[in-house]
Amino acid sequence: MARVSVLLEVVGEVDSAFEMHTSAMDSESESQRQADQLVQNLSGYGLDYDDDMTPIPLFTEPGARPMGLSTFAETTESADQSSLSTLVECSLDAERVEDLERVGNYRVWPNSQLTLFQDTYYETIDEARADGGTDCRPFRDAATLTEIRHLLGVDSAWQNGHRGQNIVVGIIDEGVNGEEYPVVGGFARPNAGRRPGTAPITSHGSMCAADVLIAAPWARIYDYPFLGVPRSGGAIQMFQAVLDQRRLDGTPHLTSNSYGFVGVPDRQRFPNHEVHDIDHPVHRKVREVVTSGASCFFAAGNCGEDCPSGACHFSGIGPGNSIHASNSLNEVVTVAAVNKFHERIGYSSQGPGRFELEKPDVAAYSHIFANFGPGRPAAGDETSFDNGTSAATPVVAGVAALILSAYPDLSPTEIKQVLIASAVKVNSSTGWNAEYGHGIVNVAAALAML
Amino acid sequence: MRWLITVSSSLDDSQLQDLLAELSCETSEDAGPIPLEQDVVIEVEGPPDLPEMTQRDARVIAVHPSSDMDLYD
Repeated sequence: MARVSVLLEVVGEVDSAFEMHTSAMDSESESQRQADQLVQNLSGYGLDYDDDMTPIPLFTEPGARPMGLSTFAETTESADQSSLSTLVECSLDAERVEDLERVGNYRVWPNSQLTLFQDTYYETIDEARADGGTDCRPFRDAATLTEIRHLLGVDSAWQNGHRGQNIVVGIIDEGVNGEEYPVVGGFARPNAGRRPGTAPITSHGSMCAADVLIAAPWARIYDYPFLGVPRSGGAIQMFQAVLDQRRLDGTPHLTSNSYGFVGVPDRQRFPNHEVHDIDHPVHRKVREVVTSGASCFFAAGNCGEDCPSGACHFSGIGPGNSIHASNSLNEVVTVAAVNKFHERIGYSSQGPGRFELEKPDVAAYSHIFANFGPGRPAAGDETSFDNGTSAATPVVAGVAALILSAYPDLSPTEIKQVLIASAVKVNSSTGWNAEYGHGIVNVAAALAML
Repeated sequence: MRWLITVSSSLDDSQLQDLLAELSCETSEDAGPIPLEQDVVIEVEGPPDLPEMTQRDARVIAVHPSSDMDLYD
């Protein structure tokens, strides 16, 4: 026979209830005595008193307002009170509960199992230390979606109904899988083999889409797949497509860009290369897009000096060499990468930037089980996760989408300002830092500033 | 070698085709002219010395490399 735990409310006035309760707290035998006395008329119901809880006096009838306790706000001792009923925790056979409820002068209440809210949340925050550090191969454990959402502080925004709805994020990349992710538009060159939304789930662009949706699960995606190898000509074509669409209906509201250069070409030979020339047409087109009202988020790159990506050329590694081209423009938001412990990931490119010195602007989380990893859409084991500043950048784009869903009139300049002003400082920095920028983005802090 | 060649938007289609032919530049079918402020940018496949070739050509405003990029994964 299944036993259930209940809170049995025994109706009846008890004088000096506080004194009674204090004595029960001080003595298990007194607690037992009081409980036995309260249930003495219920011997036929098979009740077992739970001695973990003393009898608890109640001073209010159901539906009534508490009376007589207002003097407790004073700093002097108040008179003792008479209780109107007393709670006893006990268990009985489940089928006897209804019988007990029919007995006069007793009320039976469920004694429900409670859950400690967001236990993981606090553990995650505790592990995300403020004194920095560097994570290099073999990298530390990747983060779950829940952990990253807690670290980003999305909870209160979500509870208020803001989840990135009505915001469209343009992903300029190698293509997004539209079966898994909410691709609702985009652009591809006329003869491109790939149409928006047709990329495989394992594509780099699909990873970016998953990472946008971490903070903004109700945002929608425009897919701008490069034709073949990403190059300047493809980028400018995609930014023009963004501009064309914005002229029509104001979308996409922002773009996420997780690509760039991995070396610095010889300046004598290529003085007009976009790494050297701030007036390169791609940079000018990016500025046009930002001026039209769409924030552009760019990855800082993966050529940090501690453990640079194998793709990096020696000319483009380390502080001052690894953030260049469009990701060093003043107008864009440039994103470095940290892990869930607030350690800089050692491949994350370091400032200062080539054009704008204070680059990166902010840092955000990477190494996340979002698109890749156990149980995720692109699958993989625990060594397979969304990575690179490529992942951190759409995380920030998602944060911006979430903020925009709450404050749709913010300009790109205002979004950048609030992301910077609310960023969580790490290590000894008090302002901008070549590794973390102005700090790690945080939704709750950003919204609190608006 | 791939280049981004910036020309005045006042050039009509046939003038543009003549210019590109003179410079031995080819465009791909799917890379149309991109407006950029008062000008137009076209991605072309052209000779390595295109910047020098066009230095004194009033029809050409600028020539920039169209470079390959990497995905930051």
